Amino acid sequence: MFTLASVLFCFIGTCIGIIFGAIPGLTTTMAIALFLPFTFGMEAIPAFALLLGLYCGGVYGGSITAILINTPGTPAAAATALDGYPLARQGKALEALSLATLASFIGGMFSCIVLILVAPQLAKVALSFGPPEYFAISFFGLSMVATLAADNIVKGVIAACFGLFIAMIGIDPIGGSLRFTFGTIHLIAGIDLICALIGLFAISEVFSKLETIYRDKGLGHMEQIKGKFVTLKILKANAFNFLRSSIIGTIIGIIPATGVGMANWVSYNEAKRATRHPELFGKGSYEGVAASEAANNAVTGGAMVPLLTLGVPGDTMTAILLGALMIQGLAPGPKLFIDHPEVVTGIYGMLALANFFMLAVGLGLINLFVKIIKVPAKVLMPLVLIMCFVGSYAIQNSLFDVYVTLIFGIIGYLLVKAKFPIPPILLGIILGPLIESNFRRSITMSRGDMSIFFTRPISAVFIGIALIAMVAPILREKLTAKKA
Amino acid sequence: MKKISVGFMVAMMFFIGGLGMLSVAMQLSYKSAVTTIGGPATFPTFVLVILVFFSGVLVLTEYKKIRSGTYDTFKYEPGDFKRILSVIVASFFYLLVIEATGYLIATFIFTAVLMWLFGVREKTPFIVITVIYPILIFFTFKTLLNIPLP
Repeated sequence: MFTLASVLFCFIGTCIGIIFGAIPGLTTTMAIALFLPFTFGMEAIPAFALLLGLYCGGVYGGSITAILINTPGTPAAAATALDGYPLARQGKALEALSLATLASFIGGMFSCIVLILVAPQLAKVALSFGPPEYFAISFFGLSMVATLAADNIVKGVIAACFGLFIAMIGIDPIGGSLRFTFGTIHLIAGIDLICALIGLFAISEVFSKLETIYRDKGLGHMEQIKGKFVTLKILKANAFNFLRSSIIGTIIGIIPATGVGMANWVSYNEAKRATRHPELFGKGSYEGVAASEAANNAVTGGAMVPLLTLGVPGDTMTAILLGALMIQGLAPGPKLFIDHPEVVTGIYGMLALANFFMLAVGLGLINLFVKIIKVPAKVLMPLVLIMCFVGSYAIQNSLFDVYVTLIFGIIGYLLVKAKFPIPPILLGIILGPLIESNFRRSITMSRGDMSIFFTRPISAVFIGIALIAMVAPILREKLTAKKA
Repeated sequence: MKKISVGFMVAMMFFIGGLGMLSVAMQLSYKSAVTTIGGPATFPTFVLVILVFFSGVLVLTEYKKIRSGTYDTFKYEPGDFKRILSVIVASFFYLLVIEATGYLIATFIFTAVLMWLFGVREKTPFIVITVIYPILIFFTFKTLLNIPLP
C-alpha cells in the first residue's frame, strides 16, 4: 500500500490541492478534475493517493487566504475568515494558521477513523440491498443535490434531468440498443464523464474568470505571517470544540448534497452557541477558527462513506472520485469491500496519509505556499485551459473528446450565467446509468408493477424523503407568497 | 450588446431541445423481454417529460420577468465579451491546427495566443511560459505517464 510512488503522489497531490484551495478562483473540484487524466496510467492506490491528496489539501487550502487576506479560497473556509482575518490583523497570523492546520488535521483524522469503522459495517448491510433500494438511494442522492445545490428548485431539477439525459447517450445499459447517437460512431460509447467534468468545472471557470481578469487587482493586501505557533493552552481549551466540530463535519459529509460549505457554518454556529465568550466571535476567536476548520476537513472522510459503501457520491468532489474508481475498472459499492479489499484499505491509508502531509506542509511550508498563491490568475488560467485540453485528449487519445470538453465548457459557462447549478448535472451523469439500470431491473423483478418501490421499506423511505425534499421548498415558497 | 434575457434563452434551449429529444426517445421501444414498460425508451421518456415540463415552467417564469423588466441580462464590461469569444474561437482553431502540426507546435502557438488574450504583457513570463509549459506537459504525459499526445 505505502509504496514510494503512492507516498510521493499523495504528497504532490496535497501540495497542489493546497495551492488550488488557497487561490480564489481555482477550486478543489477543478484540481481533482484536471489531475484525473494523470491517473489513467496508474494503478488504483497511487491514483487515489494523488486524488485524495488533492481533496484534503484543497479543502484545507482555503483557510490560508481566508486568514491572510479575508477572502476564502474555497466556500469551505468562508466561516474561517470571520475570525481568522481579525486574528491576523492583531499580529497573530501564524497562530491562526497553525490552529487552522491542526484543526483541519484533527477533523480529517477523526472522519478517517469513522470511515474505517463505519464503512465496512454499512457495506455489510448494503450487500442485502436489491435494485429497488439502489434505485431509491441513487434517486435520493440526485434529488438532494438538485434541491439543495440550487437557489431555484426548478433549475436544479432541469440540471439533474440534463445530466441524466447526457448519461443516456450511447449504448442502453440493459438491452444494448443505441440511443441518441444520431448515426455517429463517436457517440456509441456515450459522452465521457471526464470530458463533461473538465468542461463544466474547469473550462467554464476559465471563461468566467476572463470577464474579470483585466480588472483583477491580484490578491490585494496580505497580512504578514508573524507571531508564534498556537499554544498548547489554546489547543487544550478547544479539545471539546475539536470533537464536536469533527462529529458535525463527519455527519454532514455522510449526508448527500451538504458538504464542506455547510459544515463550516453549522459547526461555527454551534461553537458560538456553546462558548462562554460569544462576544469574541467575529473579532478574532480561536474557537471560531477551530470549529470551522475541524468541520470542513471532517467532511472528507464522511463523504467517502456513502461513496465506498453504496457507490453514491454526496457532492461533486466525491462524484469525481467515483469516476476515478470506474476508470480503474472498479465497481463502487459494497462488493468493492469483498472483491478488492486492498483498494479499500489503500484508500483509508492514503486519506490518513494526506492528512499527515497536510499537517506537515501546513506547519512547515506555509511561507512557500504564500509566495506561490501570489501568481496572478492571468498567468494561471491559460495554463489551466491547456491542461484541460491535453487531459481530455489523454482519455482515449481522441480529439473528438477534446471538442466535447470544449462544448461542455461553453454549456457550463452559459448555465452559470443563467444561474443554473452545475453539481446536479455531474451527479446526473454519474448516477444516470445506476438509476436507470436499477429502475429497469426492479420493473423486471415486479413484472411491471411500480409499487415495488413503495412496498420495500428502505426504498420507500428514501423515495419519500427525496419527494418531500423536492416538494417542500415549492410549497414553502407558495405559502410565503400567500402570506405576503 | 443587446439586452437578452439569459434565463429565458437557456430555458428555451432546454425546452426546445427537450422536446426534440423526447420525439427521438418515443421512437425507441417501451417493451422489454418481460414487461411492457421496461424497454430502452421508458427511462429517457420519463426524464425528458420532466425536463420539458420544468423548462416550460421556467420559460413562463422568465417571460413574466421580461414583461416586468426584472430579468437578468448578459452583462459585460467593454471588451470582455470579445475576449471570451476570442478564446473560444482560438480553442477551436487550436484543435484544428493540432491535427495538422501535432501537439508541440500547435501548443506553442496556442499558449502564446492565450497569454496575450489573458493580458500577460511582461516579456519574461510570456516567453518562459510559452516555451517551457508545452514541453513540461509533453514530457509529463508522454515520458512519465506513458500517455501519447497527438
